[in-house]
Amino acid sequence: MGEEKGDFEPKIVGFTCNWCTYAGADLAGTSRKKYPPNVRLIRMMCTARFDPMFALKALLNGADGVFISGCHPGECHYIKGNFYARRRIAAMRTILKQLGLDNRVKSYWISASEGDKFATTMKNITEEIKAVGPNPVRDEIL
Amino acid sequence: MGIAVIGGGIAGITAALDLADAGYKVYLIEKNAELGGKVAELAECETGISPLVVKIENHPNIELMLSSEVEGLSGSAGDFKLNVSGKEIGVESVVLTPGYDVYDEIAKGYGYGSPDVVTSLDFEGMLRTATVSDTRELVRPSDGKPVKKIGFIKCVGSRCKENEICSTACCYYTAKEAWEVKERYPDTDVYIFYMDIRTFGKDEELVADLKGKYGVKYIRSRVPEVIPEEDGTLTVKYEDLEKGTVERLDLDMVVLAVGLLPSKTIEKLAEITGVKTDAYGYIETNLTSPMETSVRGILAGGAATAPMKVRESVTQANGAALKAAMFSERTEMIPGQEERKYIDVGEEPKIGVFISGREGEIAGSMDLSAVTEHVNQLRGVAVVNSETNTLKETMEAVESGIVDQGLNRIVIAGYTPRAYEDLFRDACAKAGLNPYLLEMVNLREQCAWVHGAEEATAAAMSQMTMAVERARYLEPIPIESYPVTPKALVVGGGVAGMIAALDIADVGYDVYLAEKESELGGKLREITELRSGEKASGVLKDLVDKVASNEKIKVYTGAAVEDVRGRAGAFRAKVTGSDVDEEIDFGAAVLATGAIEAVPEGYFGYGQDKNVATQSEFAKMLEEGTVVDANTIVMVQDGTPGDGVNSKYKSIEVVSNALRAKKLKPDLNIFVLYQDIKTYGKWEVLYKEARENGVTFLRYDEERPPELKEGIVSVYDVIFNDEIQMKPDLVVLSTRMLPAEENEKLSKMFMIPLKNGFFLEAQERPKLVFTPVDTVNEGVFICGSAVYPAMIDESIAMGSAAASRACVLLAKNFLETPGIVSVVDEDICAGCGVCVELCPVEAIELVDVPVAAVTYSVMTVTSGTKKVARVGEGCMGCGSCASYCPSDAMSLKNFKDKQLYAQLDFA
Ligand SMILES: Cc1cc2nc3c(=O)[nH]c(=O)nc-3n(C[C@H](O)[C@H](O)[C@H](O)COP(=O)(O)OP(=O)(O)OC[C@H]3O[C@@H](n4cnc5c(N)ncnc54)[C@H](O)[C@@H]3O)c2cc1C
Ligand code: SF4
Ligand code: SF4
Ligand code: FES
Repeated sequence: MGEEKGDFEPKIVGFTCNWCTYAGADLAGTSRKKYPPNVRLIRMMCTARFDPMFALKALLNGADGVFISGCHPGECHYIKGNFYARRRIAAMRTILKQLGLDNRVKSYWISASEGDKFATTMKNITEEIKAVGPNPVRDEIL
Repeated sequence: MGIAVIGGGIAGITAALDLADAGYKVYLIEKNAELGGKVAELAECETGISPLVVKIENHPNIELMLSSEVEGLSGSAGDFKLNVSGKEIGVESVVLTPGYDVYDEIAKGYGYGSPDVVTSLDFEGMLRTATVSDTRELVRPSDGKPVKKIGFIKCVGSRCKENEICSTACCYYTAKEAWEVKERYPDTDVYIFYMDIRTFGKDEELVADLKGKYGVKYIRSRVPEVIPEEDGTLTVKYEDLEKGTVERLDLDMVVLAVGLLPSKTIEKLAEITGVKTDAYGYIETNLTSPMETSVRGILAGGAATAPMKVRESVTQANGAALKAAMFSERTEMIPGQEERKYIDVGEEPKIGVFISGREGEIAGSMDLSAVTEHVNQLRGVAVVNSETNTLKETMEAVESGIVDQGLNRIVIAGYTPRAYEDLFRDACAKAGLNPYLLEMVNLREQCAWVHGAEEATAAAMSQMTMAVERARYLEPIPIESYPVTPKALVVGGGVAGMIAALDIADVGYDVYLAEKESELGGKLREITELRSGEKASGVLKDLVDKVASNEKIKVYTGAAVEDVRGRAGAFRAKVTGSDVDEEIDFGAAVLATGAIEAVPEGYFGYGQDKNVATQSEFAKMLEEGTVVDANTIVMVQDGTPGDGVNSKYKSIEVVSNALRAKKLKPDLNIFVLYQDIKTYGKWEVLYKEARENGVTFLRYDEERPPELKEGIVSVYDVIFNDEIQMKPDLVVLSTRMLPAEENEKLSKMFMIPLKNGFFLEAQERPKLVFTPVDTVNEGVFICGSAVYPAMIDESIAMGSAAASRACVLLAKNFLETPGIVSVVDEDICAGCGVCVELCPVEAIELVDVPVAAVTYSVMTVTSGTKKVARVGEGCMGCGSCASYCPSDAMSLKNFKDKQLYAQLDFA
């Protein structure tokens, strides 16, 4: 039995880079910005380490949403990592579209000084995923 | 002997650590019972300063003398005797970092005394308390009602009769406090009463954001008066400088942005040590030797020399440490250089989980016993300890857990890995556990502080499960030592670069100095007179001569650095140019490429009209005395279009050139058209002097910038509320500054990100810059106008600071190989070369290896070779190769697929 769109608590997995978004999440904390507890972060040194397989695995595990967030263009600490990540996500979209999962995968740029943006983004993605509804795969697992 | 550091604020802490890390014996003397100074009182200090304090407390080379004061000093440089609270210590040199006090004789007119009128420093404390209170609301001290309307009054006790100068830090910290209020309490209305907004660089962006998206009202006003009403309201009466009217505004709370004053202890310290103080009571230093006091062997840094922010305080302190080291000798071991042996961890994970309650900050926001119980049931967990509260307690518990209970994986909860991972890795290593068998969960910033209590408990359980699962798959990473090449490369031979080179050479290391022009000197060659009145040519000649005659410095002019390889301690690069083509090895690099003036082509007819000049061209005219023909000069300080950034000295350049012109020809009419006059710190007196000497300052409306038509400049002045017209003989424009062209290339070679084309420092935390000359790439340092267009004293301080940081690294005989690097499984590598293409630092190459074709019992017959990837020394651990390798042959240690999947499966 699937839950109705909108009124379920989605599970969202975020892949974040240590230097920017993970730090932005810390800043959201220091600034006591409240956001929904639906998000679980996985820290990597750079979003370059992001492999589309991670997103697929997360979705197959029943996550309702996935996001990747790293440094702003030009601010990646390994210079090109965030750009590679973007390219991979773009390439992955085709497969996601075929599986009907495209609207469950988002990507952002959030810097270390954007605590507010981090919190707002977490709120927004939670709302967006709620609107999309539970991941159908989740039903199969449950 | 050793070096005494007096004052344990951020400046003293920084100086002590630089020295102790480089092997000098340090006595850190602090009059209070705790370290940290003012930074420890700021709202968000916590994540920043406590790791440093723990480092100091555990440092074998630092003797920490708390609640101690210097009572006497005798002797001279190289042989001082200090009497510290009755105890005598002998040192070769002294660093003074006694800091500042806040202005506390607040005039009655500000309503001070009413409980709802507080100083900015008290307000920092209130913000901190608000975060641990039950409701987390910002409430009025008088009646506990939520604050709906708050006002900040700037320049209280600065730029006034009692304290002429500008306190520099308050414009920024007011913006920061306002931002903090808006971020946390978006419904609160925030008003800022100000005269000028003196923020620079990134801080200007913060102010723009406040005015824009945060809706903070900046009100340009004069001497507001605060009237506490019967009903508890605070009425602010002020003269609106934009409208020219007197207005009233009712508020719930008022924060007075009090100025910074020299620490009250400076007078006594000056008496004891003999150092001179300046007209304002600060320890006197010089524009061209910003860390040197009037007494040889006694150095100074931080807010005790002038009011300044943390970034500048730390920079000076780094520099002062190096200057102090010149008088002393390294006598101590350098920590981390001893050989470490790690226990064999075997297969079976025995995980120790340490949850710190952080003195209520976490314990008070979730059900910790439920979290503990949950963790206890997870696979592989041997011990859960949620008894510790402070960093020190947690570190000790970890060490004894490894030694006494044989734990072989450690999970720490409650601290952010960003600031604490190094400390905990070190604690593991000390106890004999490979430092990569550690996992951290940030239960405070990423859980307790962002979710409600019930939600936080559930989220914490899930975060803990992910961490424990990941910990099960962590593997020890073999660590090897490699020798450090005790040499440095400095790129850029301007003032900052030359200072860095000289300082490193004076400590005893060889230096390569590469300058792209045919001569050393950089921008200093174009400057005529320094703001101190010193001739630039003299300063320049002195530096160039010193560099030329220093045997340890090898200068390459007309040269470029190329093809950088390797890592901290062991870099290699090529220096090429018309008459060089050389491979060089070095352990540390300092980038000091400076900045260049942007040509304001077309602005006010610049380029076509010969009566329009830039400030630096005007300075040359002043030198030649050609301005005496002019009767009226108009200076346009702001609004110059085009790329680039504003220099920090823009206003100082304007007022000092105006003053020089007035000296040459007292009846000259000078008009300065501006938005904000940013004569920070002691430079404020020049602004005052300029006004007193008849220079007219006209502030125009941002929407109606001044214009030049047929030789007439018209401007709409907001104070007179009228259009004013002038017919100048000369228009002088302030220029914007551009980064050096080669920064782009250097950024790629040295892996240093740029911001607006300038090098970006490593940012540990967004609001306090504790590492202003360090970068994300260990072993690469930045200084001078290549970081931001700075005054000469700041550039010099940055040069010495970069040298100090480089010397801390070069003092080590060995460095440890980084653990988080990629490795190839040669058996499955297909030699496709995808990774080679992707690696941003070109750390991977394809090599030929023999292929085993058939194996007869003990004999292997090889049949030719195959290509496989091999990861070299430069790997920085970004993981690009690991996530792209089509054959899954490449993996990034500590972030292997199985480790990430373990987390993912339980997310
Ligand atoms: C309200 C407010 C907010 C601020 N916010 C920011 C900010 O967000 N970002 C930023 O960059 N800057 C900020 N600043 C500025 C920042 O506080 C200073 O730049 C910094 O603290 C200077 O460090 P320091 O070590 O030189 O001095 P201090 O912090 O004053 O430390 C001096 C230390 O020396 C000790 N001492 C003094 N005399 C003696 C003696 N005779 N013997 C032994 N010990 C002695 C003192 O007890 C103290 O511990 C703020 C300032 C204020 C007032
Ligand atoms: S992880 Fe791979 S791509 Fe990144 S620096 Fe190392 S070798 Fe290069
Ligand atoms: S490691 Fe992977 S990407 Fe690199 S050459 Fe081998 S197969 Fe290709
Ligand atoms: S370091 Fe943040 S995306 Fe590369």
